[in-house]
Amino acid sequence: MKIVYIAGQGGHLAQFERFKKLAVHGKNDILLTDIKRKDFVGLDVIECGELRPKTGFNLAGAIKYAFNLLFIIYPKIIRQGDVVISFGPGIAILPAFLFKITNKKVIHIETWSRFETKSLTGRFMYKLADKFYIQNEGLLNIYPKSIYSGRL
Amino acid sequence: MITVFVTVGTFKFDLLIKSLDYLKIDGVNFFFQIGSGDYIPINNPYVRYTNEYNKLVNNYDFFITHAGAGNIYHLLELNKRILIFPNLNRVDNHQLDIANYVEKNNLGIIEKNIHNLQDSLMRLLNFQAKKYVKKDFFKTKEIFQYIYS
Repeated sequence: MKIVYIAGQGGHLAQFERFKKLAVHGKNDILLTDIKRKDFVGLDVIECGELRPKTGFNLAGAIKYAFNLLFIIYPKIIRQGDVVISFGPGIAILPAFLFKITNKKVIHIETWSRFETKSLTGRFMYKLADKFYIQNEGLLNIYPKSIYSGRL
Repeated sequence: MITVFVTVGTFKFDLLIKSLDYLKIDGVNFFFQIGSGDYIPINNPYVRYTNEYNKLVNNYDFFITHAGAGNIYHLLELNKRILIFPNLNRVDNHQLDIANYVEKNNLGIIEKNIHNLQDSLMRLLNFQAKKYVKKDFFKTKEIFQYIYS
């Protein structure tokens, strides 16, 4: 079983790191991130570039992401991975879609920084994920089929 | 002398750093973590990033922070007194969501107007926060049972 974790830099990665302390990991698990800032023991860390930088969308980032999708994400992640656990951000959407259409499991843990509003990533992942977890109970109002998980 | 730790995470928030660097309050100075900011403080010490962040925060009681959730939760778990100044230049409004949560629950002080920073800082120095309580993540087992089912 090869688990693919997806977590972008900043708070997404912080949530992944907290989850990692609670979880059991296989030897071959992968972390897909936008900008690699450090290594993790026992995890193959793959960098895909930012799809939507914090200052807004930019074409160069999108082209880099598309290139990485063809040559890194598809061969190394979609073909080899068995299940995806996503913590956001938007870099998770396309891999999740590809996992979904190849009948692989998709789990999304919605960001802990949302209490009353939907994130763009959350909107897509709510439709794609087999299990959609929320960390703040107020989100049950806007994601009625989600599962409350407590907070990382 | 009280030193207030100012942290903006991995991104840049020059408006906040520069405004505080020029703020003169008797008995108060600042230590900045400036991320990828372009403005370099000239009146107070700073670091860009530090691997010793978790150790460093133990030396301070008062914090001014952007509204990055990871940083906020970390500081709340340590019972620190925090003033949140959301970075509204970010691509979405998630910093407001968590800032509203903190304000509503009396866990910290929120300020969105840079011109009010001095008043908010004075409030912070006397602020009595409610203790942060959270329900810990409890779905790990369920997730792995689902994965291996």
